[in-house]
Amino acid sequence: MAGSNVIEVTLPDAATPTREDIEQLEATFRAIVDLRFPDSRDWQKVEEALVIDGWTVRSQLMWVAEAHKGWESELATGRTKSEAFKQLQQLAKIDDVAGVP
Amino acid sequence: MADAVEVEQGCLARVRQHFRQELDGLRNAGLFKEERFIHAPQAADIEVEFPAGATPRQVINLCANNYLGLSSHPEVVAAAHAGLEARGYGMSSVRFICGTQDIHRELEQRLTAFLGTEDTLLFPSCMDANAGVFEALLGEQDVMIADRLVHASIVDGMRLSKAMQDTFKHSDMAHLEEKLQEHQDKRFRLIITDGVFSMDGDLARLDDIVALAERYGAMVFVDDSHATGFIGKTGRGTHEQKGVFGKIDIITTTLGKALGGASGGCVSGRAELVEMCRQRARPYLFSNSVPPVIVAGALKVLELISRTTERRDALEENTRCWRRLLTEAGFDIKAGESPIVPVMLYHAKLAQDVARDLFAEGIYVVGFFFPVVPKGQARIRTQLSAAHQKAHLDRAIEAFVKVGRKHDILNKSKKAITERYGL
Ligand SMILES: Cc1ncc(COP(=O)(O)O)c(C=O)c1O
Repeated sequence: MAGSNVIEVTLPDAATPTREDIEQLEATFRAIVDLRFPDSRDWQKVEEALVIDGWTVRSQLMWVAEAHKGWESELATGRTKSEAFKQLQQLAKIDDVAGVP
Repeated sequence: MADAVEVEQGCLARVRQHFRQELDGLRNAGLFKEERFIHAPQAADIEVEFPAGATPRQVINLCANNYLGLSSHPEVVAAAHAGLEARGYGMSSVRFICGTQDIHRELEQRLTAFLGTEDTLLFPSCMDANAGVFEALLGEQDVMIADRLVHASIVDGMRLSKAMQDTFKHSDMAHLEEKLQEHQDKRFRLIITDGVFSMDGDLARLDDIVALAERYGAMVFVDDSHATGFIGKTGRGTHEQKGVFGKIDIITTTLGKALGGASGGCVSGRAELVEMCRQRARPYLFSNSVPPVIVAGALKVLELISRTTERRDALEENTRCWRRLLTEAGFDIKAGESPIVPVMLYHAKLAQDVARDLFAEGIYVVGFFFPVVPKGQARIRTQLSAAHQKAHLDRAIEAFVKVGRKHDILNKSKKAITERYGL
């Protein structure tokens, strides 16, 4: 099953990962692979160009939390999951009711 | 070429279909907004064509923000005419290029004096003022802490700012205090509130808010659109009413309600903050100047309301009288002191039916229900004006009682209404 570019890890029999566990494992591995073997270094060119334009540039791994309702959507980021969700809650709260003119 | 036209038609057809479905959804949910055409100047008595194509009928207007009855006041109209003659129709420019006249400066100075601040900057509307102010003043090291019922334009403005967003439960000072404690690590804390909340007509607890701001080192922002000109003994606004005149860091307000009702808004407050808006606020920098005719009208409005408090006093008296009439008739109203008087009906369809029946009786009011107000809080919002005479209110209460009897909602508690109609 595993091709040369796929690493398969067998979980212990007792492990019953939730969908969230799997998502987090995948995200963690994807982050490691991206740090060690990025598919391209184009981002460096963008970074250099921005620095030349006077920007101070920083990139970091973050949690993203999203919420959707009808045509509305909210998206928040945070260094921890709870930070992202706290901000998501605020974003959703402030628009709880549309209000009147 | 023919292919390109076909592709475009295909794309347009999909777009049309998508939006037709969306619009049908709004209609089915009872959320579709229809305009009513007024065949007269804004006033207490107006002629309204509704539905479109119907013969216009005379109704009493109980839903305008024409609090001081100045929207069609002869002196304001005359001043606007004179302004049109003296300074022309439009500026064809943003303010900082060639769109600032002497009268713009004069209006900003008059607003500063009226609001008791240090400086003022005009915007095309208060919506624009709110859209520009937070982005212009705050950065990612800062936090905005807003009451959960602030106006939609503030919500939009906050979204445009890089500062962190936080909220406190409506008028809940303990919750605000918790938030201020939580955000002591931020560079600047800005407490954000409406002065008078347009949904319930209640006043912000500005005295307590200013005290908390002083204790925790925060700035205070107030949108006084539903207060400027009539709340407070001399109509300066919620800060006057709550005894914190001169202590608000940023006030935004509109010329589109009590102050003549045309259009335009402003940011008023600490000199450096206003100056920074002049340098950075995008709706100020990238949208046209308030037209001279409106500036001239607004100057007259400020002159009229600075000369005497007659109009705000008449509005206060009308408000008292209307609240008493409704209460005596057995309606369930939101208590308060502002000329926004919500008649609570709780049930969305009931609110729509009552508004429709009142229109048939010659009273123009609008029903509000979820999602513009919280679920189970449907109501009719009535708004008083200094232009209303006692006879208007007597006619209006007669109609309210007749319609109230028809729907059997008089002297009924929330529980009784919701048991009968649901939530
Ligand atoms: C509290 C509040 N702020 C701002 C506005 C927008 O004012 P303007 O009509 O000047 O854009 C309104 C009007 O609905 C309002 O009620």
